[in-house]
Amino acid sequence: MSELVVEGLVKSFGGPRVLDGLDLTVPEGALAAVLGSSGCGKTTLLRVVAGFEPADAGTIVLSGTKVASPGRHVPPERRRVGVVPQEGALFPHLTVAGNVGFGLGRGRKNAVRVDELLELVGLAGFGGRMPYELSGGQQQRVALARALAPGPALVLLDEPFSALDTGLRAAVREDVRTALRATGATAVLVTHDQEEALSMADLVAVMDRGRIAQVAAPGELYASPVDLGVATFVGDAVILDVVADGLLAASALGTLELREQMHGSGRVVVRPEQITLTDAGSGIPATVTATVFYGHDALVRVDVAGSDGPVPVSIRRLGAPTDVSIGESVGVRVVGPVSFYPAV
Amino acid sequence: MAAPVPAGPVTLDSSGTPGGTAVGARRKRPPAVLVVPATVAAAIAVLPLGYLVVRSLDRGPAELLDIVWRDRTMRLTLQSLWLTGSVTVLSLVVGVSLAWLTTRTTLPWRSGWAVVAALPLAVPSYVAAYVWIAAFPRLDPFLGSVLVLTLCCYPYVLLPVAAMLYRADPALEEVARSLGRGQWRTFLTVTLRQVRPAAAAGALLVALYTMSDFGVPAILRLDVLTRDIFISYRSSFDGTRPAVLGLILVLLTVVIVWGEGRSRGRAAQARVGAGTARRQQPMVLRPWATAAGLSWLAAIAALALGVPVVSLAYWVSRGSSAGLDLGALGSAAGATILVAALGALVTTALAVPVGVLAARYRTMGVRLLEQASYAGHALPGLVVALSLVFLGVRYAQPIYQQAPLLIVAYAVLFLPAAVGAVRASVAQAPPVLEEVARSLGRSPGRVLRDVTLPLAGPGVAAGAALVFLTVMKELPATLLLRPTGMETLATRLWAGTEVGAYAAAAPYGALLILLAALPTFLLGYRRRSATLEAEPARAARLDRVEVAT
Repeated sequence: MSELVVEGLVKSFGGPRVLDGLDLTVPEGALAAVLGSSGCGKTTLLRVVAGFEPADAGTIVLSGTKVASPGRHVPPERRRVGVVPQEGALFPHLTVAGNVGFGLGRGRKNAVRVDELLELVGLAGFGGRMPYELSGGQQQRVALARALAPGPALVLLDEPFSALDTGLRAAVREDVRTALRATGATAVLVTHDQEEALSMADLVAVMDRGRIAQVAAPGELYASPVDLGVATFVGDAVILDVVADGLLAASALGTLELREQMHGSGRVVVRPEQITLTDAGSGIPATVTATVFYGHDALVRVDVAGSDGPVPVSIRRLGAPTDVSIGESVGVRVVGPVSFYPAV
Repeated sequence: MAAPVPAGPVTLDSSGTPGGTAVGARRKRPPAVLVVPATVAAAIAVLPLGYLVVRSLDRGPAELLDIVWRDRTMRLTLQSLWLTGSVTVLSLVVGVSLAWLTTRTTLPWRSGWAVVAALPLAVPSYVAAYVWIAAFPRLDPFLGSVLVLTLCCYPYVLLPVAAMLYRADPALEEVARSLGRGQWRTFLTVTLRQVRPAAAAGALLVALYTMSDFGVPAILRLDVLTRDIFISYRSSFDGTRPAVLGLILVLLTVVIVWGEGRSRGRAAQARVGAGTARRQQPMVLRPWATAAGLSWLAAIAALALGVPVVSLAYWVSRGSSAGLDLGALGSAAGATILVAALGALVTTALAVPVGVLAARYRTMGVRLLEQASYAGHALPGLVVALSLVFLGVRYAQPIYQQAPLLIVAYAVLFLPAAVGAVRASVAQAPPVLEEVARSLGRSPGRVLRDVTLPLAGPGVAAGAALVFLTVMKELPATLLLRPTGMETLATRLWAGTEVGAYAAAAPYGALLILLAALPTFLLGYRRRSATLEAEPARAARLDRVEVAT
């Protein structure tokens, strides 16, 4: 059982708390992404879990063993936590095989293990090369193989793809995910890239100001963010004032379907892809104000009439927005349920 | 439990806790593996200074004050200051003018001149003094010392100023020009201000060198503190007088070093980013100015390089017609290499723990150890040697005038250079690699052995090589502490000048200049490879970790 349980973790560097009573549980074999903007403390969390920094308070339990608690700090070399740093950080004086085998002893069995791992990350036959002979993506894969080699209880990945260019990033992500699955390792990935978090992880933990704001599966997180802050951080969102009555709410976009029974005034989060464009005359009347083309999809911005003047709404559509022009009158309609947040 | 974690599941002990350590100190505490040897190194480094103070008080504070207030002491001190001031000012004039001519003008063969102008660094000052006295036996002691030391020291100003001029941001000068200032006013008000910190740092190095130098005034017979210390040590059994004069000398050098440290801080602030892609427009010189500039460069080169080369060639040819003693030359070279190798080895071994600590742990204690190991920077070689002679005579008769005491003196003198090299090369190895090694099951001691030292190895080795070559041409400590009967290249040259046997000394002078040219070459090479290695991403990562910890 290699489950990670973090409770009430506190860490400061003499100033304000970087980790402020953080709780996080990652089940065995899961890949959890810790998602947060830069400076939210996610790298510090990773360093404390790895044992590079002692915690000020709180406990870290790994595979049922307390590795950090008041008065106890297990040094990193005894935690069985593998680390994949930013930019890989391969030992420049060792070959690829030397890097992967660094956490193993010497011997024949270990040479076999090194070959196994290189094969797993798609670099069979690269053992004799030096790190500088590898591309950035290959270096990251070697770094992962090195972290997995000793069979760690937990693997920590610190923004491992941020140094790669966009094209390479997607491919390396998939390979890393496959390799982690194949070994069944429990892993925590730290990132500021919501697309990366949502596409790779089994579980996404949104981190804000030293705490975890929400932990959920990617789909659930996107559909039902716990508050408006998480909603706007994870994906684009249209936020509307509504008055709820049971499973329905009245808004500038007409009557909306709620996920849960609610009453009174508040706000809802509508995702741009939940809104469709219709011909003028059907749906809620709106005026096109702008279009933004992204290649695979496009945003169409429209104004709908609200009680206090026009309300701006973004709509996501596939393909180029060639059929609408600015100033055109259209109709809009919301499809599917939305999340409601009562006014405070 | 230093054993590597095996592949596969690991069983922890029955309590389920893999032996943690208490969270006492919030900051990472430096491991004893490093602290203990570093403390030994620091203790050795401050030993000569400490004993010098003890020895000066041997006959009580009254005697000490009596020696300080003597007329002769005052005269010597003033003479030392006067010599230092003159050499420093002249070095500034020569260094800044040559730096500007070789970097910022349209002078012909500028890059060639730039190399030639830095070459005098390869002439040990006592060899230059020998060369001049051999060529002009009636040389005035004071003027001769000023001339020789200026010619040897001006590169200390030239090099930092030229580097500053070379990479200073041209935008500032362009702005000044666009605001209506002429070429010359821009030079005076903007350019010179930019080089001021670099020039000040260089000038203080010149002052430190001149104040501490023993060979030049001794050979040219100028009565300054260093020469008098040597003479009174030789001529009397009472060590109090040389000890007190040594203390005065150390006081003066400490003031200079303090000033140097301050100016270096400011120079760093004033430095403009190294990544300037644009080059400055060189100043177009009129024909008469070109002629004047070339004559100035040629005159300095003739005095600083031409005179030594011609004079050495003359004396070597005269000496070899009389028969060159190859056996003596060979044994002196062998002895020199032996003590230099031992010195480099011991110095580097002492420097490694201090350098690693200084690069990785920044606690108060570590800073204190590092500062202590730098004591040799402010201590003139003669003073270190004198203090160790006294110590040896009184407490360590068996090793007095034996190799160990000499090696200790080298360690004290060159520990700063070695610690600097270790520190810089360890700092270049990203700490994230050490963390990864820890997470893969290596204990701190093994991380040092398997990761830190292999990565820092080339830099540490280069530092050791530099110490080796510097020891080879060291004069005062070797002179006072060498084992009985042993002669090195430097002491042979010294013996020759003492009795006026210039022809016999010449081959030693020539060999010393060749040896001294090596570190100049080595340093130049290292600087180039260091810039190649500078990876922006790695540097950014280092910065971040420094802030976080």
